[in-house]
Amino acid sequence: MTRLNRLFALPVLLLVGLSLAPAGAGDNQPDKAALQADLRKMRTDTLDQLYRENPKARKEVRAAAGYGVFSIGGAQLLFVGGSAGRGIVRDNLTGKDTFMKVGSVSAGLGVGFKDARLVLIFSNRTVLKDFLDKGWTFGGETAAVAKADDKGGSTGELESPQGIKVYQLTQTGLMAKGTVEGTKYWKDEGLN
Amino acid sequence: MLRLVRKRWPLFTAIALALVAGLSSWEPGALVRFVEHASALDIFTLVLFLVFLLPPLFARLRLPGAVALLIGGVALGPHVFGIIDPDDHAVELFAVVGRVFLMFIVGLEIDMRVFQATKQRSMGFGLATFLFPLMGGGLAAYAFDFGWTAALLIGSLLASHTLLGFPILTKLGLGKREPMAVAAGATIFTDIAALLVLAVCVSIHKGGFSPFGLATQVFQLALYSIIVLQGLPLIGRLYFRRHRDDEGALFSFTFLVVMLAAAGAHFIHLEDIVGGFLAGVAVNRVLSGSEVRDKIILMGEGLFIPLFFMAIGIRLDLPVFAATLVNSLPFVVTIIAALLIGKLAAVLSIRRPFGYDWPDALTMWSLTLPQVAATLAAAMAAYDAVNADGDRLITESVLNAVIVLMVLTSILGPVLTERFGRQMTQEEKSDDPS
Repeated sequence: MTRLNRLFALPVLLLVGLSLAPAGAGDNQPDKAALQADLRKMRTDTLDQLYRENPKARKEVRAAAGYGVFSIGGAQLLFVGGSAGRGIVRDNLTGKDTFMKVGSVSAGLGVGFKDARLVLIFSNRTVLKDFLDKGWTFGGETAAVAKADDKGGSTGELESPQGIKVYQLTQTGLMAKGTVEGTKYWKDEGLN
Repeated sequence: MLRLVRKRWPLFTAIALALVAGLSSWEPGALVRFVEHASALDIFTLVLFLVFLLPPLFARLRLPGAVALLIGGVALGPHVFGIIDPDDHAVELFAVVGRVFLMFIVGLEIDMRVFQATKQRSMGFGLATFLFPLMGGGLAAYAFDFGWTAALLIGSLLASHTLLGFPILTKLGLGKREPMAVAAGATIFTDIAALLVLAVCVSIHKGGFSPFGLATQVFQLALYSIIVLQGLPLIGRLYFRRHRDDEGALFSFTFLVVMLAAAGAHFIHLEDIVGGFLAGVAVNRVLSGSEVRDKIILMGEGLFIPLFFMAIGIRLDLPVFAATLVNSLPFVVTIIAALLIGKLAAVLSIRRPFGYDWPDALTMWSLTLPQVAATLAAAMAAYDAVNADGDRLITESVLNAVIVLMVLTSILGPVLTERFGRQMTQEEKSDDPS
């Protein structure tokens, strides 16, 4: 048993050494933590609503490179620091969350409705990385437009040519029509 | 044949009548109805049938049993025949008990005499074959923007290994050569170290990082290890002395001890597989030479571990699996490269100091490539580790990458072991003047 104890001792000592390394500067600002928690809760609630109304979206979210959930015009998150709303983007590979802001390109909100939630599903990592690193603007060639089904009707999904699928939700349910343009997204430096 | 039919005519008549009755009542959709209305007993029988049938069938194609069982699980799951619901509690039960048993047997099969015989070299190689892939995998994950806890965990997943190719070397008469004994001894070190990293990473993920919190966790782990490693053999010896003639009681006792150690670990927020592994190490000597040991291993390898692999297959969501692999292909390729290079660097670092020739070194490399038992059990435990925000320590994409890694290395490792092992035997023959 002594030999075994010795065998366990080396990795344990390595880990104790690790534990003495300086801790990363933790951020204890209560407001920031509270806002992050609010956004996470908003994400959970929005995804629950989306899955209820469109069960196949659950698989789309799991299979994607990443996804983002944004609240626009919500009571708590409205027009903070010049933005029309806030949200979180999750990288499905690393599991990392990036907090982002959403605003209009020109005057006015641009999205065309209040107190709405947007779920963005990124089909590939390149577009996800671009969205996170450089920000994104839906408009012109990058507008998300309604997808038509085989019979020419709307499927209730919007998709940009770059591969970002968008679901728009309000308190009454999933919005089946419309476009998403005139909105831009950028990193929330204060929350990340 | 005719004699056999004559001798056993009641049996053959009964079979013929049963076939006629079965075929006459057969109608289209009978299989679908069976699937829809299958009882728990029907499903369990089907699972056992696959456990019995698939590994030997795949062995003929030179594919490992674990891959066969994984594929069997996928076939039973919702994306092929849809016979078993992946959210069924029984699937969860088999996944958990199976992984605990998997690590218990890893601990139980540790042969301290082998380790003792090559102690210095096993420690040296163990440290090298742990650290190089740990650093390689960790840095690769960090480069892909993983947090440092997840990066460290991913590195540790590559740092352990399963000696899948060892039976091939034994068959070639090379199992007792020093480099192979060193590789076997090193596995003890890598398994222990990888589990310790897992325990610490899970603790940090769930509770956040603080030097005090980490020190507390390491202290708890050390305390629990001492209790299990020294307490269980004590109780075990007493119980075995009293009930040495009652094999059933000894079997139940050992089984209980494994589950108690796993549940105890869980109770103090350690991973259940850590408890299972410690229990295996602890009762290693108590069970040495006992028939109960063989029966426990038989039970584990014949039932619980196959069910663990099948449970993973059943839970595998094929469309999501394929999509996440496509999305994370550069990451998958990078960690496979990190493993191959890390394990090779470890072998190269000890080749000259230990005086091994190239076939020896390359055989050791191939032997340490397969990532099956500890890797998959640890990956599952990390995937199941959820923090207060509801985030997992590793994502489904990483778990899927680990499954790919397991499949690839469990095929590649034994193939290379056989190739390099044969080179070793050929060199031995050419060196032998007689």
